[in-house]
Amino acid sequence: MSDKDNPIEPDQSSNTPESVRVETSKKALSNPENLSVLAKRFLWADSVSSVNRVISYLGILCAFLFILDFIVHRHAYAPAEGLPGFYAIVGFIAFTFIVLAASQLRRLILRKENYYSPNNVDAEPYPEGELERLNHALDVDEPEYSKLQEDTFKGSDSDAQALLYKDPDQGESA
Amino acid sequence: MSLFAPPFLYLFAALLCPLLSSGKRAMLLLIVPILGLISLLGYSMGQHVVVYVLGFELTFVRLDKLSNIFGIIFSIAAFLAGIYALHVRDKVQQIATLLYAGAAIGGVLAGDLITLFLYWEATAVASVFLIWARRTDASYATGMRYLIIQVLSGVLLLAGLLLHYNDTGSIAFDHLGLVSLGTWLIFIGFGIKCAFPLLHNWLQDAYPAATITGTVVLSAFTTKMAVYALARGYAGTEILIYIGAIMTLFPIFFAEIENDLRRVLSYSLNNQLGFMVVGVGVGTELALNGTAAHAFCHILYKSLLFMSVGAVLYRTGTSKASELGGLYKTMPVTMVCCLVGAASISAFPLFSGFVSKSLILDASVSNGYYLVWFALVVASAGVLSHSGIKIPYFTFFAHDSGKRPAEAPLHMRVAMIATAFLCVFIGVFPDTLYILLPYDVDYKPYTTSHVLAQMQLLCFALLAFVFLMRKGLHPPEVRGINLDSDWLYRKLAPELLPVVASAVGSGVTRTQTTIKRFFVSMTRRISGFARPGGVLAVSWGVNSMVLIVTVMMLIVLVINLI
Repeated sequence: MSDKDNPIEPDQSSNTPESVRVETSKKALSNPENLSVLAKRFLWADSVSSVNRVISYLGILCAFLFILDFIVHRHAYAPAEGLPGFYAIVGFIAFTFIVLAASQLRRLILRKENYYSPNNVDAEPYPEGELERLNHALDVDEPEYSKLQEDTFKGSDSDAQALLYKDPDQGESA
Repeated sequence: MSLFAPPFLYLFAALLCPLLSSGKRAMLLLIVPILGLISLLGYSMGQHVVVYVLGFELTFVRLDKLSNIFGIIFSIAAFLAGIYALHVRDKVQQIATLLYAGAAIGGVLAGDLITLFLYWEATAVASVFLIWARRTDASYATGMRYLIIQVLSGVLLLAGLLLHYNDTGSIAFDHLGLVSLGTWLIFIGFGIKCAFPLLHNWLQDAYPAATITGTVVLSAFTTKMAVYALARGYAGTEILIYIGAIMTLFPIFFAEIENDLRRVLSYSLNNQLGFMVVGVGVGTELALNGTAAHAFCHILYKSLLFMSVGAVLYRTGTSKASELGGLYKTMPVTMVCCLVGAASISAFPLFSGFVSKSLILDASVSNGYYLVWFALVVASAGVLSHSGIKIPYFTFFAHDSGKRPAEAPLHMRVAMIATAFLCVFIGVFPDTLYILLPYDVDYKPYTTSHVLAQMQLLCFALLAFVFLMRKGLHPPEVRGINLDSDWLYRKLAPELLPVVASAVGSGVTRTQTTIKRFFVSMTRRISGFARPGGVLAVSWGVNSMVLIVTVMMLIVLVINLI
């Protein structure tokens, strides 16, 4: 994982434990066997063809629901509510309108994160003391990982700890 | 018995906190909500606990079906937040959580306006520590803004209650209605806490600034206490229908383009409050049932969403959509819980939002508010866009951020799974919720018409999302903040104030010199009359004196005659 791909923490040098961990975990995760059972069920989200298939299912479902409106009597209270396809059309148009209107609104009101600084929290990082950053690779029994760890840190306990709990101060000094 | 009233239990526990070790305090946060719930269920319907103070009859507990359901859900929310916060060792946050939850429960049990005011202010003061607990300068400033607005709400309530007492001689907290200046002030006080349009910005400002666990706690209580207060005091007030309809619509647009996911959820919270306010405004039994049911479900799924985003923040250090994505691989449990919350808030059939939102929509349409009903339908599609899709999609899927955080800690997973279970359980067995509602209404959410209509709305909205993503029309997640009405008091007023002050100051000095100059010249001119050679200084003849006196006497005579 190079810094170019990860613009969040640009101050990290490429030798920090964080980048090593990310690299390791990426390798570990390239093998789907290392994922949990639950995560494996969602791997289709990464494949374009599977996503297209799911979208076509959605299309079929929509078509089915639309046709159903002509067959099943839908009880209507408001004027026009009883028209076939009322909810379908409203759902599609309302959603599209909201998204398009919101992007126009953004052009008016978007400002830099530090616009209100120092009085807003948006420009500051979340305090590390409240966090417990932990990397997925440590849950995985990955021989490559321990090798990397030894190479980088010559294996002292405190360095292993630094891997476990990402502390930015320690990370930079390492 | 009155000593063991739920709010007092929380207070005692908070007083006990400083004596306990941090682990025991975390356990206390679990035990107290259970004890509070047991104590609450121990009261019988219609029971009042009254204390006489300074000649006033203060009703600390007034249990009827309306306060009961809010008391129950507040206890459940406090319990779930307690599980979620099991890792927190910060004494300040733990005590603040206990006091805040206790005050909110006290607020919904309060039977008179003075007691309500006490708890109203207590929630403000206790909750601000959950923001300050972040312990940065920015969170201090945010907390201050929050506190000022919350206390202002309390002051309006106090002023209104004094005027109301003066008018009616009663401090009872029953139906008030917009009948006098006093009740209007109370209404605005409630409106601030309920985040009415233009009074709303404290919510989106403060909630994302709180700690991870603090936001979960904050999301449950303050605003729903205000909804309860409106339902108690202003049911059937027509203006609320329109306020509520606006509340459901305008936050959608802001949520859609907001980057910080906790702020997206805050806007979404505002939008959900709109549904409840419409219910209060319609004010029929069905509508009030809808408000109570929606508050109940909303607290659960909103907590769940804040928990899942909080878990992501806990593991990655950020809750910004632009920095996240692809987390489903390593946080699958959090992702599934988040999806359950998203489905619940979007009101998919078999999830909790569906069985509560239908009540409000039906109440508005059956009372002939077609335009408001249509606004709510559009808003329902909007809810799907920002809470149903944006939150889970940009956190767990979308483009891969390269982050590979570990799954949320066990206690967080337990809290999320328990909350998600409740969301699904209520969705599948709505009658378990309906028996708690304030009025006995026979309502069937799962009719063919309802399910079909809702599925069409949501599926076609999803289709629109796919369409917009394919066309590249969906606004990308970019870093930045969006201006809202808080710009008026955070930017405009502070920048305008020095200009106005100096303008007023120089204006005042200029006026002063002009006036001084005017008086000096006037004195000089008047004294000029008496100087040597002046009109008054010349010697007058007797004739002219007599003439002047005669004229003056004539004038007096004429005036007298008139």
